[in-house]
Amino acid sequence: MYWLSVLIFMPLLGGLLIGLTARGRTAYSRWAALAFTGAELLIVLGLWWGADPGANGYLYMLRAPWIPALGIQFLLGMDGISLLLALLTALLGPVAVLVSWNAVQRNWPAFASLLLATQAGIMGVFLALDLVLFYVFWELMLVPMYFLIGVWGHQRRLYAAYKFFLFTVTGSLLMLVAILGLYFTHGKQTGIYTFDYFELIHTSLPGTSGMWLMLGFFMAFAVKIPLFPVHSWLPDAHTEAPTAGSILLAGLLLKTGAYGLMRFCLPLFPDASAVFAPVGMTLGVIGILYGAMLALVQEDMKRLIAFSSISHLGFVVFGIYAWNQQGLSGAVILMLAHGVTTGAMFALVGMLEERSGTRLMANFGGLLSPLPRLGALLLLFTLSAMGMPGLANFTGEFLVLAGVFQVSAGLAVAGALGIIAGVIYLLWMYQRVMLGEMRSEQTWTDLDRREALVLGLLAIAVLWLGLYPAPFLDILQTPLTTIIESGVAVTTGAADAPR
Amino acid sequence: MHLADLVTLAPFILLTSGGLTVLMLGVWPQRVSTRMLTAVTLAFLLLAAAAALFWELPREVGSMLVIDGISRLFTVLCTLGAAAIVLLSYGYAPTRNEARKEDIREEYLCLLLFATLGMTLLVSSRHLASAFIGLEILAVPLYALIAWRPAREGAVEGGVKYAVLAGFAAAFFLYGIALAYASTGTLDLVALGTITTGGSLLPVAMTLMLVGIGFKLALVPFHMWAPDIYQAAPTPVTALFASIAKAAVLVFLIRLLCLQLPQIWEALLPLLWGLALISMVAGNLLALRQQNLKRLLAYSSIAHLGYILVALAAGNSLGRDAAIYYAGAYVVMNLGAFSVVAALTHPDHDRGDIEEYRGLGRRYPALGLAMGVCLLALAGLPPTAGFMAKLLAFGAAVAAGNIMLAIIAVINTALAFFYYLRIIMVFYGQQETNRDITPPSKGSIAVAIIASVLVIGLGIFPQWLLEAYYKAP
Repeated sequence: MYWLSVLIFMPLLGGLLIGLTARGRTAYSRWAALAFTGAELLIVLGLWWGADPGANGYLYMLRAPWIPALGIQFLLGMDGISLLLALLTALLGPVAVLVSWNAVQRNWPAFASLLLATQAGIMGVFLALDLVLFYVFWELMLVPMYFLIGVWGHQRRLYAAYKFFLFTVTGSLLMLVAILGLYFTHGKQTGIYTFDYFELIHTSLPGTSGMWLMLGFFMAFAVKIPLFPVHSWLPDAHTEAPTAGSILLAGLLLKTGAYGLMRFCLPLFPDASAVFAPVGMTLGVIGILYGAMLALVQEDMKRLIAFSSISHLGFVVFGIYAWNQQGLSGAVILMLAHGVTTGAMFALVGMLEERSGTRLMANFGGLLSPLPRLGALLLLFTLSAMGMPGLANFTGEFLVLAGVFQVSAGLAVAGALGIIAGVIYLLWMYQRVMLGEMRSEQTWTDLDRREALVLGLLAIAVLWLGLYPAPFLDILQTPLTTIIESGVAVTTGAADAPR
Repeated sequence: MHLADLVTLAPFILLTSGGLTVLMLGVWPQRVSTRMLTAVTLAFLLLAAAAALFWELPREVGSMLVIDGISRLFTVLCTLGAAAIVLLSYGYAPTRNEARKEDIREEYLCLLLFATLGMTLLVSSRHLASAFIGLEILAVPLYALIAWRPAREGAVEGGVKYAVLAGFAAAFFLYGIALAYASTGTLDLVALGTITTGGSLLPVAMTLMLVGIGFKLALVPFHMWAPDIYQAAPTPVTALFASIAKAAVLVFLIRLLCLQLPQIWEALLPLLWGLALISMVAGNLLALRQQNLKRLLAYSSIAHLGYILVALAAGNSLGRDAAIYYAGAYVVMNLGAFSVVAALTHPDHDRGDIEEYRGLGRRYPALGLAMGVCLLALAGLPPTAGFMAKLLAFGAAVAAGNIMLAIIAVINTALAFFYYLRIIMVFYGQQETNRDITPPSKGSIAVAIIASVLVIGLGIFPQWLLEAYYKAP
């Protein structure tokens, strides 16, 4: 299906086109970026509409030779998980363009092309099924992101950009070694040297080699998610990035890590992952509680949301390593919910910052009366983020906890404590910003049409995920079952997963 | 010597006669314009490249030269690279000023042609004697080229420094050759490869040769000259050093190591490991806080040679392929980066500090983009040739079971991202410097653009380079 490559190359070429033809024209590059991201969203929606699940759960595949001498192919595939994440990527594209409309003041053409390039890279990560191709996109999304933070960010942008890049690149290079290790192990066993995901999935890894290779992959994903000991780039990067950068970072880049765990770590190394699962869940629970604790003491709204992201992504990891239907589907739903909710929260903080020039909660207060529409939407997304039933995050968190409970009740309780902490810091944030006495003298203007459109889109997604998640869960059924079977084969002692 | 051999030798003959022709034109009664001299030089270089393309493979000339896929690929690469350097020199502002009579003239171009001859001999030699001749023909013109325009600060110092150190290197190399002859009775590489009962002298001989080559390649701990010379030489000459001259020596090293002399490979391996390890680590650490762009690139190329040794230390055929691909990619990436440096000079001297480049990427979008592409390729980011080179090199190491070496190499790669990104950030920074802008010449812009297109092209289609010598009939 060539549409899959269109999803990747259209934003890439669009970015190039804008970069080359805009010649400093701001309005042109804004509208062109909006057109490209909008078209991207329409294509993904079309693909969803026409989805026809094949036997192995893959809705669309594209296979073309690239470097045959080394067994590298241009192999793209879209199953339920990829489809939903591609949908999220395509949805956040126009959102990122629209929130930057006035917020980005200089060099719009360059900004637009980098934004589109990032989107293309992320889309590629969600679709690539050849390990080298995956790695190419994995690195490709970093560079434009680095420049988005480093050029359009806030005061400490350079520090944050370097930190972001060096952390993630170290992780991903370790993954590269693991990919090569897997390639040669598989090649020596079967004589077929290939980076094809579907071939490598049947590699048998004797002794501790599986564990080491799995850890190589895990490092790259753990940095991206980010899990507890390697998370320290995230608060800086999120805080210093421009609003659109924060939306892409929190909404999409973090998801690539969790996606990698599901797509590669578990199915490629079922034995090692089964051994590792308790550690993974523990790291998840540490992330949940640690992120929540730090969010409690933040003064900067963006930093608070950044730490809450660590907490939410801890839930995702928690669900993934529970390794059952509820846990995994909860994790995917929570990824979508977190992408939408956090994207909206960052957009709202960006709007407040545009109006007042500050993000410190101490400078706000009593904004509900001058900004009723903004306040109401902030309430909606805050409630969703803290897991209010009927809104997006609740579905995910509930399923994750249900999944984890089957594995370990103790850990589930510990995770639930994180939700309570979430209620505290989110409501406290809302109270300090929207309620109480007004602390600034300036005049406020409520949401204009563009801002209302952005938030309205995201609000629809939040309500849909919360009230009627069935279509999303249905499409996840087959691919998740495949992942679970690879694990079941290990625990029941079967020699090889059913093919 | 047959007539067919004469055809085979055409590139070498063309380069020699080119050098002599340019020299003759220089002493012609009527003054020949610089443009004319440059055009003649370019014509000879392109003819040599074309002649090499039409080589029938494989051939041997006497027992000295071997014409195979590798020598064809690198002869073409070296001659075209030299053509690029002629273009850079022609547009290089500090030597472009005819009024000061410091223009690049017949001597400069003739030296360049002879240096290229040395490289082509080196990449085709299968005999230690011809390799030594090639090395010296390459080295002697370089002394003079480094000290070009002797009135410059540090020019003579740089030339003398290089001459002394290269002399040492040649002595080591020659001593190694002598010992190799003493222990085996032959200097032919193929014959050496079949020797099975070398005494204890052969490892010593190889080690000495490795030291000599290590000097030329600036491997740590023989790297001390590199940053000084890179800084002292005019940028086009630095580009010559950093790209094709190193690649030519590297190709000879690959030939030497891929003999896989069974009994000494074991003894050599720890040495290669050590050289690879400290070259990577020291190169990157020294580059981290370097402020001078040319010095920084010198350290970065030390680190790159470390990665290439990682591939060679694997000792398998993948390692050889990786090293050859890496050498090709290295030429193109460095040529691109240095062409940007050569294009953006002050009217009378090079820019030194990285800060002096602030904002120039915005002012000259083509050059800025080319610099970005080449630096990201040097850093090893997909989909550039630099990434493919690293993928192959690390793959060779993993395939040979050198996992630790591969992990150290990737950690170094991650470290290197820091300083490459710093340069790009400065290129696109705000508050640009307005001092002493000379408009970059068209020639250097063209070289920069071609190099960056090649960097991406070779990264997406690595088979272009791999098959260039693989499928040699």
